[in-house]
Amino acid sequence: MFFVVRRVAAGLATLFVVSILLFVGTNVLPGDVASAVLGRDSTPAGLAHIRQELHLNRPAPERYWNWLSGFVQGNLGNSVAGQAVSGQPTPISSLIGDRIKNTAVLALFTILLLVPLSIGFGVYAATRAGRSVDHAITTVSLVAISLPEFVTGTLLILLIAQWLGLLPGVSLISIGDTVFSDLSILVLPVLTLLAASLAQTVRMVRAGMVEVLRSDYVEWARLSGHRERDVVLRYALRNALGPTVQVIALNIQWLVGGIVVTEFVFGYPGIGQALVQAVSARDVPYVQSVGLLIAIVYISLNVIADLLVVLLVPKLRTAQ
Amino acid sequence: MTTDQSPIDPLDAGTKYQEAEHLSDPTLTRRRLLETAAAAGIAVGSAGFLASPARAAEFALAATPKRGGHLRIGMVGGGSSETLDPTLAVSTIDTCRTLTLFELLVHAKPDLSLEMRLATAFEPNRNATKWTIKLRKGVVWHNGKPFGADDVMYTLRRIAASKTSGGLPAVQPFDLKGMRKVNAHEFELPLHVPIADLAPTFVFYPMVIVQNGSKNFKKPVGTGAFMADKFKPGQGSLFKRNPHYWMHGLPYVDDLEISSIPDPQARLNALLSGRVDAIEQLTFAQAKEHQRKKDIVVLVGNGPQFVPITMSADLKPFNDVRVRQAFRLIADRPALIKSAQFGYGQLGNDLVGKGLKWYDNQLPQRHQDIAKAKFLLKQAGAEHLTVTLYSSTAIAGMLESATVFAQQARKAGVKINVNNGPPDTYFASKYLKWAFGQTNWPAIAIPNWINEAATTKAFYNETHWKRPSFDRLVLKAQAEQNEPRAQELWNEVQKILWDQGGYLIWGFAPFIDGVSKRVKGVVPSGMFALGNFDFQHFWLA
Repeated sequence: MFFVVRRVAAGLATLFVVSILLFVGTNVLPGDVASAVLGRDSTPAGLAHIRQELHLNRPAPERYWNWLSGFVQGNLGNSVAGQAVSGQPTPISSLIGDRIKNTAVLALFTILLLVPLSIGFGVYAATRAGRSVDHAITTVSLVAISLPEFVTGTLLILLIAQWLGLLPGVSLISIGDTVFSDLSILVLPVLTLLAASLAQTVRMVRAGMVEVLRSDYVEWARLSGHRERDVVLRYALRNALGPTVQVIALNIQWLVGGIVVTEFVFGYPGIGQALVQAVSARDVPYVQSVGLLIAIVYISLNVIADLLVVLLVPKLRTAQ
Repeated sequence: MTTDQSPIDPLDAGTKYQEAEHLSDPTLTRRRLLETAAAAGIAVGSAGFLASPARAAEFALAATPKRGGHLRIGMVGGGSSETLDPTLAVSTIDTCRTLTLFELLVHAKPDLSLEMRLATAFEPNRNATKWTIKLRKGVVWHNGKPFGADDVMYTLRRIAASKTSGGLPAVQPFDLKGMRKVNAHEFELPLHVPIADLAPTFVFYPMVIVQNGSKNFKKPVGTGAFMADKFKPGQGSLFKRNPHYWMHGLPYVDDLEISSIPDPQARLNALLSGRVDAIEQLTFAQAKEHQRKKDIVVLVGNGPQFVPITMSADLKPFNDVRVRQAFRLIADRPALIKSAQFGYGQLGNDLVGKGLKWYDNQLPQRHQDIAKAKFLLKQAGAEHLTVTLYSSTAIAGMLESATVFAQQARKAGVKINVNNGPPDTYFASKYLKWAFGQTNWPAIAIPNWINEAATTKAFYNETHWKRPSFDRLVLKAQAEQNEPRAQELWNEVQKILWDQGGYLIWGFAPFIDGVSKRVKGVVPSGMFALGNFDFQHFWLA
């Protein structure tokens, strides 16, 4: 129990540090929303007008406190870019609702495929370590790992969308439609995200599994006449899963970053694409709030993974 | 002055609305049309069988337009700062949307000549200090209210009061306090200074007319061919056909969807996979490739927008006119066009507004002359000069042209350090302050440009051009009602800028867009991207 409390407290402390970093980071960007919104039409009067309207002239600690205290109470704040162009407060929550849903759907599909596939391929490769199947899996995953998402995505678009014409090469959602109106738009982004993360998890699962399969107790089980299937799935896998859960969790966190790139490549209207646009628009509250939301997801995943590992591996529980 | 008849039926004879004045004479219509296409510089992707502009124009109008369908457009977009409020519109997508929902008093045709839209006539008093503007009758707003003088007067006041409108410089000469309504479709606009040719001022896109009293632009009411339905900034908008549009029978399509697709590759993918029907801004490389492949129509609209290099006339080393002259002679313009714009676009002669009214065609084309440039630099005591050129990737071709120009300058012994600044804030930090930088201008009437960029009180005095005598000459040219005499005066104005000015205008950049072959009725335009954003003329085969 103490472990749980300590882990959650550490997570919260990390979030607090992240909030400060986000605030400082967004505030040292050159230019502000007024100059971004006005572009070449920036006149001193116009800039001053917008800055005053949006309270951009208040001292930094005050702005930080207003933002963070609001956030803790579930108020994400107002998009300054939205307000600058509409003249009315534009709650960030009203802008990102659909986008969060879209990103969540994309992430969910990826994770649903990532977990069984990485375990399946990893275990399979491990049981055939050194043979050609293992080499094939290892080589393919090594290539996939070394390609960043924007390359994988572009290759997939070229191959599957343009040459074969099988799937849409862009994942736009028509205004008025939802992501569920046409699920085919998800295939290529999910494949892109899977390519990088799956490769890594497969390799880790394989490595863990190979090690466990070489251990004495597995040898003992085999000698005792258990069927190989039972040895692998019942005895070896469970012990190999500990590190695997953490690797998968790490990769899911990494997905959070990969999604930003992938959404941009496919024009998918998720939170990542919005984040890129918001940085360009110098929509500081938007970047801060969305950034902090992403950090919360990231850190929660971390905490959950740690707790899961403790649950799965009895050794760790008793060690306390 | 310029007058226009009442609405006409564009479906008639399958012709385009622009040719309305000549509908009575079919031969003339066709010939004029071909000229239009030639002037607009049609360069279509399927160039094989459309080699001559004349045939291209015939092709564009060959079939009879079809009603119905859902037209989908992909634009770069502007993220959460996208807006439907014309006084705040900055990104091209905002311009595109506002020009679709609202209308201008006067619109530039693809060949850059003017046509009357919400106005029908501009009539000056004797010395062009007061204008009577007559408005089109029978136009209704999307909410059913009739359009009239109150709306236009409200719009002009709103622009003047906005502090942020791109139209702010344009309304400066207007005496808005003295503005007076004559009747429902006519008002008087007194000016602070005489302007003999007023209509072009209203062509500028921030001057679209909004309804009297409108303040909320979440779902605005316009007079345009399409009506606002749904809008999510940074994502997309859905507009519906305006069934009561005053150009009877138009638009052809039922719905217009405009999506933001910031990534150039994603935008092209959207077009190639049929997810959208037309996209703006192909990269030069994409344009070259698909002109060869001929799988889409590559729409090239040559026009007067440009990405010049600016030298501030009051800052070292450019406060010596010889240095400015030398730098203009250093430029190898064809090489700049070739490397920065992949050969697309037209040669520049350090003059603004090629193809527009008042442009001085008489001045000789300036070419690279390194020997003369060196001589001028020596005279100015500026040999072995080192200067910093502020550049960025904010605009296509900007950084490329800066880099190439820096290489060319080496031949004259000038060392140019190119400062590649962040694109998002290029115009926010040192713009209007630097001695040596770059900028970009959309298509804008020459007198308006000179007022906005080259007079002492200009909003965008990018070259720090402050000459009282020059200002007086501009005012004189602007007030001259005798057209040949006015042309002489404008030539005089341009000659001064050509001789001594701080703009290095090495070329003009075209609009290069990609259009699916099923989209018809698109004519390349030098004024705006995507065939002038004249979506009412687009139809789907």
